[in-house]
Amino acid sequence: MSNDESGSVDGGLTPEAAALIEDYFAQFLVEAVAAGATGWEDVVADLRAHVRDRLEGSAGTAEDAVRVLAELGATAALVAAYVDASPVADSEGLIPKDGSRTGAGRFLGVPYEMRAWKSSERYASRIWNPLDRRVFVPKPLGIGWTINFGALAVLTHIVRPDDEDAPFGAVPPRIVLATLAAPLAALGAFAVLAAVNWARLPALVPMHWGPSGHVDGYWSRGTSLVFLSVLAVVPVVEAVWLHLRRRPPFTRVVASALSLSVTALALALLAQMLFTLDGGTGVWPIGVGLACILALPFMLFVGMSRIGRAAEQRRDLFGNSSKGRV
Amino acid sequence: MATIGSEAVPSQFRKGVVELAILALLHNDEAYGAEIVDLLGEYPGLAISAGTAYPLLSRLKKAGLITSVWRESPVGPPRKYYRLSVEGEGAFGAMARAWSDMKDAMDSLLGRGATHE
Repeated sequence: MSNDESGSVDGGLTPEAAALIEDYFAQFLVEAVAAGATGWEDVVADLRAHVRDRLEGSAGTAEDAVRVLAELGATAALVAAYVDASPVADSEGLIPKDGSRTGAGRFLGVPYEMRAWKSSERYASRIWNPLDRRVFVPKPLGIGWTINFGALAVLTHIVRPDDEDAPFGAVPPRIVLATLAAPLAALGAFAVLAAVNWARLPALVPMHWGPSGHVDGYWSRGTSLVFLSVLAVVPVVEAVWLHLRRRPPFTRVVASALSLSVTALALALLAQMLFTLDGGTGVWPIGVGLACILALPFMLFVGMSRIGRAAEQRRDLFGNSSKGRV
Repeated sequence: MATIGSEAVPSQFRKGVVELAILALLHNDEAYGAEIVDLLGEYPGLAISAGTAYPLLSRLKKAGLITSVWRESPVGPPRKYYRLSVEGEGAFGAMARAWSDMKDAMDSLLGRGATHE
C-alpha cells in the first residue's frame, strides 16, 4: 500500500494515476460518511483491490486510472448503490439510509435512535404504518421498540393496508385540526379535577402503588401536582405547536394521538391518587388509564383512516371519474 | 449457497422479479390488492404474502408507475383497483425487454452449467 502512495512501483502506477485514485477514494469516503454508515473500510478495501486488479498489465498512466475509475462511476452514485443494496437498508440496516454514524443503530440487539431532528416525522411514520407487518418497530427516538398501531389495525382486519394512498392524506384539514380536541378535552378534565380537589389534598399524597394495589410511596402535594401537570401539559403544547406550524396532516394526527395518550396517563394518576385518598382500594383507575393509553390513540388512528378512506371513495365513486385516478 | 428452496433466492432478486410480475398483471387489466396476491399465488415461484404485496404496490404508486381508484364491488364494500399509468406502460415495456434479454442470457449460462454437471 505504501508503494501506492509513492506512486512508483506497485502496479507500475505513475504519480498522477496514484493521485487520481487517492482523490477518488477520498471523495468516496466523504460521500459515504455523508450518507451515514459504518463498515465502509471493507468496501473501500474491496474497491481498491478491484482498481489494482483492473490496472494490472496496463501502463498505469493517468489515462488508465481515469478509465478504470470511470467504470466504477461517480462516487455519489457508487455510495448510493451500496446503500440501496444493503438488504435491510430501509429501517435498520448496517448502512441506514437516513443514518448517521453515531446517532442510530443497535446495541446488544436493541435498536436505539438518538437523533432528535425530524423526530416528529419519524414518530408519525412508525406509529401508524399499515404497510409494515411488524407490530413492534424500533423507536423513532430513544431506546427499544414502540407499537405500530397500523400493523395492529391490519392484523385485526379493521383496516386494509391500502385503504389510504397516504395515511390520513385525504382527511379534510378541519378534521385534522379537530383531532386536537381530544387531548385538549383530556387536559381540561385534568385541570378541573385538580382545581376542584386541590384544597382538600393533605400535605402528603399517595403517588406510588405496589403490584398488589397498596400505596408504597408518598409525595408532597405540590411536587405531585407539578409533576402531573407537566406530564399533562407538555405533550399537548407540543401537539398544538405542531398543528400551528402546519406540519403534514399525518404528523399532526400522530401528535394529537400521542398527547392524548400521555395526558390520559396524567389524568389516570390523578384519579388514582384521589381514589386512594377517598379510601378506595386497588389500582383500577391506573388500569383503566393504561388501557386508554393504547386504546385512545388506536381509536383515533382508525377513525382518521376511515375518514381518509371515505374521502378517497367519495372522490372516486361519486366525483368526476375521469379525474379520479391519481 | 447452503440453503435450498426459496430462502436461497436473494430477496432483492425476488423483489425485482415480483415487481415486474405485478406490472405484467396490471398491463392489460386492473386488479385489486387481494386479487394480485391470489393471481401471483398461482405461480409458486412468484407467490408473495399480502404483507409483501402492499408495500410493493405502494412503492410502485409512489414511483408513478401505477395508479389506483376505488370501485364499487359486486359483493361487499368498495375495492381499490390498481392499473398501469402511462409511465408504467413505458417502464413495463422496457423492463419486459430487459427481462427477455436477461432470460436468454441466463438460460444460456445455466444451460452451460447443467451440461458440465
